[in-house]
Amino acid sequence: MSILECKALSKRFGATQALESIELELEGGHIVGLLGPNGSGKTTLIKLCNGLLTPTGGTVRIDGMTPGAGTKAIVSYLPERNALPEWMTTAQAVDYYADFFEDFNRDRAKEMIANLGLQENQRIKTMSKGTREKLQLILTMSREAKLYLLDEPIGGVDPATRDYILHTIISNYNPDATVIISTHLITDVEPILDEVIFLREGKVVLYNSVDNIREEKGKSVDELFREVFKC
Amino acid sequence: MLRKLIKHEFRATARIMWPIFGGMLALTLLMRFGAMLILERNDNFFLNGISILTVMLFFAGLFALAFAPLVVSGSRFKSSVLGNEGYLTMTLPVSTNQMLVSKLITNAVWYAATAIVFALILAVLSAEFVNMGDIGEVIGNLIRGLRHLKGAEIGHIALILLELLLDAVVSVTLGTVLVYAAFAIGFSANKHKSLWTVLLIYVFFHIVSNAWIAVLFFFGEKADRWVDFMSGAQGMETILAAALLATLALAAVFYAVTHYFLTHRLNLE
Repeated sequence: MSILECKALSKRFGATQALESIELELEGGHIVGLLGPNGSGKTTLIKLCNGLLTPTGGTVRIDGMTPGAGTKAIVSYLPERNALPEWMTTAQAVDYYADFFEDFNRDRAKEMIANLGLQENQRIKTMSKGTREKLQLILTMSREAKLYLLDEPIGGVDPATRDYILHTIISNYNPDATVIISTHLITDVEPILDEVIFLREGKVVLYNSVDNIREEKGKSVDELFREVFKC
Repeated sequence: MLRKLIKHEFRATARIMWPIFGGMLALTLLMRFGAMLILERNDNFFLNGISILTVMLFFAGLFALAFAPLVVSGSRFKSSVLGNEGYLTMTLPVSTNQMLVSKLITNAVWYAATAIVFALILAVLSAEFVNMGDIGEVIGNLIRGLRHLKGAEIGHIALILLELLLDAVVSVTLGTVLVYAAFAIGFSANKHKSLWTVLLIYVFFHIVSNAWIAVLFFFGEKADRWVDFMSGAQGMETILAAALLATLALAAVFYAVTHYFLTHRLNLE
């Protein structure tokens, strides 16, 4: 069974068609880049997958289930903004994740937090933006989920932090799981991607493996992206 | 999962409610001291001014305390469900019903705690003027009086007290879920979310209060037919039961609206 299946998936916000007739079937065990310019529908697709939005048309299935409490137990989601309550300490945030997610690996999270040099009693409110993002990423990747949805994990941070984030993703995800990374910073993520999906104006314009793209087109994903989305 | 949601909801709200309770009790003690200074007709202008200010602050604090659970609950709903925290809260492996019920239960408990704090404030204020021995005598007389009642009469009293308690619980739940519905609808808009929310709270409260006025007028017009039935414990039970059902129905409507908007119209942007 596919881990993610979209059939004629559409989402409209008023007069704006954010996604139109998306057809996708992703198997487990791949790192997939969801690539597209700003406003192409990447975040909308991710939100539909984790139940934050309901489709206007078509269906989305996660491991055969409609998004709900059941799929949220197997999907680990990293939003593009800080979602951790600012009044919590690091330890309280770890407790929160451990309480609600059965697949959360507390020991792994504590190890990564210690490596980051964070104090357990430090309040999230007192952390810098980059540190909050790292903490959120650690909590997300400490889950042994079947599907990871990472929305712009490396946007708005310095290059060293980007390397740390990508290293954390590669080192800690469940190898049988699928990781979907939404980004427009292609060069940084291309080395870790197995497959790519190009989105433009709410439609899938390409879905292929990185190896096939290099063989068939003789180009890197970044070069192909620039060609496809040339202004 | 409901137990865990309630645990974390208490953790998130206790850090606000406990300081409010502690602050109010401290203000009560301060107010008592201030009131004593006024009563002693102190000629010191500065001390009198402080005393009057303390008394004014105390009454403002009482007003704020009465609304604290509702304000804290509404603010918590806005931040944890409709704000950035919503990206975490709404992706937990729990149903929307579990999430809403955990918040309503927590809020009801804080209302009960607020009632206890009010009772403590009253006890602190009246300790000067009331003899504790007198209170003991009153309670003793009440118990002795109850013992002389027939079984059916005790049953009526117990039922009336239970209905009053349930009415109180459902009433605070109605107020809370009405605010939740206003937030859920208001924040589904793309623009002017807070303005829409405030307008909806105003409209919803007016709908509920006008509905109650309409019901009172309806029963008032038919008072002659009901007067024999309404007298006595049975009449009181019926009125309380009817009020409970009506409040429950209104709360159910606002709950359904909140649930619908959170599951179909959530707009975290």
